[in-house]
Amino acid sequence: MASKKFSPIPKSDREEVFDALFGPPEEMDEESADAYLEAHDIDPARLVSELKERVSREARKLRVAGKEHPTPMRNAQQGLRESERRKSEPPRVDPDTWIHSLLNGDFGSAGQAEVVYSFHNRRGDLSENDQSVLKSLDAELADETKGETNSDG
Amino acid sequence: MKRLVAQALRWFAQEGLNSQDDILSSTGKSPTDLAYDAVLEVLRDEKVQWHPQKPDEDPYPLLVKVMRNDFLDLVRPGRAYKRTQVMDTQAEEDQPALDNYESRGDDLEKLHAVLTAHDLYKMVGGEQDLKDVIDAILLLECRKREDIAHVLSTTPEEITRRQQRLRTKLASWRRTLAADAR
Repeated sequence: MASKKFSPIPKSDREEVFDALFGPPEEMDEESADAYLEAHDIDPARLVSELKERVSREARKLRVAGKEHPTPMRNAQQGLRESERRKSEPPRVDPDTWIHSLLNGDFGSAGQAEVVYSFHNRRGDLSENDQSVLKSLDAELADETKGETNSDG
Repeated sequence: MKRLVAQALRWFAQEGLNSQDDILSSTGKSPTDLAYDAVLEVLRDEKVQWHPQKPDEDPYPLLVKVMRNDFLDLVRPGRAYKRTQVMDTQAEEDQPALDNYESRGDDLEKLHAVLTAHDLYKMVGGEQDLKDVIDAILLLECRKREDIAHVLSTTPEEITRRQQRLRTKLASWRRTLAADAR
């Protein structure tokens, strides 16, 4: 179990009755969760995109405040960048799998298996398409580096 | 995220707040806000820290504890939020034994107002094994899974399965109530 610095508040009698009827919060399962979200017209895919936005916003806030990004936040950002670059996230990604990856910083293993292209053909030359991909990645990296330098300064 | 948001919805329902509009206007925070805040709190790595013992450890148990503390801060006594009565308390012809159920204190009176045994009976329909669980909890005041299993002469694992069915029923039932209200 993860270590933590806070103490849980004891349960009231009402909570105990509800937990006895419907199971404790820790046991909320996927099927029930789907039923709740459906009952309230909440789109699971929207949950993921909204969470991405909030994580990015929080990271920006920390950067503006000149604070160092904590490790879980860095992992999350790294995961977000990888996700953005690859643009390979399945459209209906499972929010629970995604959040697990977010906290553990292991987006590489969490997504679907995908083909990874070499940027060289058999003669060692780059194709036009590869060159354009590399150029766009280079520009993206330069923008990010510039942004980080500006915020550090 | 799905499980976090679903749990937040369940907690708000415990407080008698069932629709997103009711929740937002009463507490200023939606169930999804609560869930996002819990994730961000863990990512900040300040008050709460996530140190998994295994690479594939599920962060949900920690996140839901963080979220519960935030939820209790939101609805603790003294905060002005409006309790909404949405349950249908109209009696049916075959009155269940639980009509004799008497609440033991303030908390249970509130619970009773929000979710009566009669409502629960209607929710589970004709599924007697689920009614038995309701009886064990509200009539016999069993709270622990082992105790419920003991009085019903079954196993704790079976009670876990029934609780899962009750959760799904509760969600579907709320959907039906919401559709009826429109």
